[in-house]
Amino acid sequence: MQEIIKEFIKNAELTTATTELVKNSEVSSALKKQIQNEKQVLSALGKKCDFESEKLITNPSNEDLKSIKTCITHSLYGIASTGSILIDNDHGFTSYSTMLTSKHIVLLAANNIYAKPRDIFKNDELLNMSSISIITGPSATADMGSLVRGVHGPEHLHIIIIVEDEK
Amino acid sequence: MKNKNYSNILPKDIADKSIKQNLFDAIQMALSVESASVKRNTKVFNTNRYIAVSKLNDYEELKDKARFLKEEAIKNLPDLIQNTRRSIEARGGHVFVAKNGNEANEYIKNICERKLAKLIVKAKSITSEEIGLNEVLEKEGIEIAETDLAEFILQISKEQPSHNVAPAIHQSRERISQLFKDHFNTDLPLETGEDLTKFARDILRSKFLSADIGISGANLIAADTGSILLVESEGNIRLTTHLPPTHIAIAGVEKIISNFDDLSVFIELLAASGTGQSLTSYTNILSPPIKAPLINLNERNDQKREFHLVLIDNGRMHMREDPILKEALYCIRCSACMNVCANFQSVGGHAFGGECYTGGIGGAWAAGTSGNVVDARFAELCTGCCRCVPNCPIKINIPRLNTEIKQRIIKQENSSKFQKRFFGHFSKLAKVASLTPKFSNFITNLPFTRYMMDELIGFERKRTIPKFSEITLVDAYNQHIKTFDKKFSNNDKVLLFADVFTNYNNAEIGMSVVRVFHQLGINLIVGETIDDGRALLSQGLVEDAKIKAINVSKYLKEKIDNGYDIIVCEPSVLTMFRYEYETLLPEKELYEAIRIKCFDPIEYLNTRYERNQIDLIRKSDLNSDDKIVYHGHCQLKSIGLGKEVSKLFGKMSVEIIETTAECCGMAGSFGYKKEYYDLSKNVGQYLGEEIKEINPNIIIASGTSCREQITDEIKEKIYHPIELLEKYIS
Repeated sequence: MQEIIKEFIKNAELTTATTELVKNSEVSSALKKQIQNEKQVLSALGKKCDFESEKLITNPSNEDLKSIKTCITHSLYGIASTGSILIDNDHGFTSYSTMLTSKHIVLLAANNIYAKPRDIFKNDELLNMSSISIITGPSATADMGSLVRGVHGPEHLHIIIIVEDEK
Repeated sequence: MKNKNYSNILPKDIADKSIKQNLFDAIQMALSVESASVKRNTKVFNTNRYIAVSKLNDYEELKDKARFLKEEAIKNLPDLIQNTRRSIEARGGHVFVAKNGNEANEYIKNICERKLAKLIVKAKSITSEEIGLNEVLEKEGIEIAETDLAEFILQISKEQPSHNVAPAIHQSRERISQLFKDHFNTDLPLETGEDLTKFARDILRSKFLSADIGISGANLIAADTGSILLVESEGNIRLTTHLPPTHIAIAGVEKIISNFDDLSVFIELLAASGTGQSLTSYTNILSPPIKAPLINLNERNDQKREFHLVLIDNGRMHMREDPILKEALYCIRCSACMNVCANFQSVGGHAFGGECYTGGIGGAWAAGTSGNVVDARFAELCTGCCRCVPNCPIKINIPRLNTEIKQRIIKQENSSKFQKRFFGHFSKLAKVASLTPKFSNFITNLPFTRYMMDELIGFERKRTIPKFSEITLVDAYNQHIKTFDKKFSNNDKVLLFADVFTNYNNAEIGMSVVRVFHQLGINLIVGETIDDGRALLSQGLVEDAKIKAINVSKYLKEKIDNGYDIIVCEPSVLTMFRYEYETLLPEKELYEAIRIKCFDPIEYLNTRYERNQIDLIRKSDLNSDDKIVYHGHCQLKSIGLGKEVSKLFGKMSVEIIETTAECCGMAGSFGYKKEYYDLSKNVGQYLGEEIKEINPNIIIASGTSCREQITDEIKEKIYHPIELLEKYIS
């Protein structure tokens, strides 16, 4: 495994996110497993991914947004030194799904992992997005005395890191 | 002073620090009610920051870069405001520049009226508290839901922030639990942090889902793209800025930097310096109006998003013209300065703060935004220990800001208080007292004398007055060389500067330096009696200190030009030469010439050892069971000399245990002043407990103040490291 992926996994898990490394062809089955206990899941995957399931709600109603507890989204980049993923809030319902649910499952292409936070600024496409969030672990607070996870955002973050299938 | 019931004082009642008694009452209230929570939380932030920045390989370069970017931004601010406006308006957003709080509040009120807003969700914005936004909107019947948990707590408790990143740091879990139970009239147990968080989260979730407008602050604004950086851990900022159809961002004009790409420098520094994380849970960059689909969760009928950036002047453009206060505009509000500050750790921002600005950097902000320097009276709690200086990501000279504020308050109140003048001119008193030291020591300890000192200058009676040495260092040295006949083999020229404290009160330490250096073959001489001016600077008598500095620097330069290396025993005097002279002396070259030739005695011996010019050999018959604790002087640590003692003794295989306390709390005259005695003791007690737990048989400390403070706690003699070295090698 490449060093940078190892570093990413180590740091992501330090933030209490969970990770798994899969090949491109295994993505659908990995996702299926992640949502096996859910009735419905908000999906912001769009056409980039060919995962299909009856559980996926791609065009949520207001009620869906308020009640469904799990979501699946893409991420644009990963950052190895912090174990973070960057998401594009402009894309469909990515923003709301990742704010209102308690579990966020996110796909990350291993090729898109950068070493440090400053490195993502090398991408000009950042300038085309009106809202991005670099997410590092679950939502948390220490204001109430002890560290509590899952405040105004997901308590669980699961990152599926995708490597190309070997030729 | 102890007769009041300080635990009943409400923080809001002592927020106005222009009233002197409020500062004193706030200290007592904080020590009795808030100290434990503040200490626990700030120490966690402090420790985590050290860990997080150690992971940044280029921390020093990042700080330099951040400093440069902020200096440029403030210099070009009028243009950058225009660029910001252009970028945001090109996307259909609105930018309003408010001269003052009233203009900002009116503008925001009008938006609320137009939007028929009944409920606003708000992310943390200290700037919004500076302008009193909530009160204005609430008067119009609009409900404001503070969504940051700390602000949620403060909204219920009706208190001002006590820290700029974690505003409710003074509240313990038990107090929060009682607060919620009383306010919400609930029987729920609410005992754990988890319970409390869930309770607040459920209340706030319904607010998010029905809010008409979201109001946020901004950490930084990039002018070229009109983008806003917003960092958080809870997720409330994401919700506040995305769910409601209208988003208003409030920011001081100083938040603007030139380019989007430069945000990369700040995002790593801000998280590490602030909460000690590599990055906070959510680092958001918005270029509003944002494109996420509008969902009108609360049955509103908005057709498109509306975005307003309200930029606030409110004294900032004036600060920009102020040669000293300008530096405060570079601040990125990370809170490192408050977390590392020993006094802040003990009392928090309700004492070391005003209506909304807190901590070391808070004084300049309070003075700059209110226009009235006495609002920054809490700057008195800055002792100039300089621990904040190497920990500020923008390298702001925070002690200097506070010294300047003290000076301006003295001028405005026309009260160069007798107390300040007494401490400031200590050297004159010492000169006279040292003519008859035994008698002076006797007189100063008489009950009547202590009574008069208490009444006239507020000198705390419980403090032991430093003794005058039986003979001054200069006289002792002159006597010593009459019988000293060692010949030195080299052309060393080393001068021990006879600083006021070493000369009059610690002559035996000065003589120890002489003997040790001579034994190691270094030709050290003692300089003439001279008033170094340190005490004046510490009192905030800056103009007087500058005059002294010019005088002393002439003396030093002459010696340096004659080839002398200068040894300075008293850490606060050494720090003045190596750091504070940069702003006291008129010429940079003079400062640089002095800075590179003044040394701490232990530092100097390390350098000579590393050049193979001296040997450090321990006497073989010495007891090797010594357990030695070293308390590093705050200012020595801040100029990078915290490790010299361990290094030196390590060369003789002697282990030194270092304390972790940032500062002993005595800080020169600070701990002698009766109004600050309790605070000083609180800080000292923490250090005392740390030392007692280690249970050493020898305690060493480089600073006069530290030795006095520790002796007060531990009741044992504390040595200067050079005295311990003498014991080991002679």
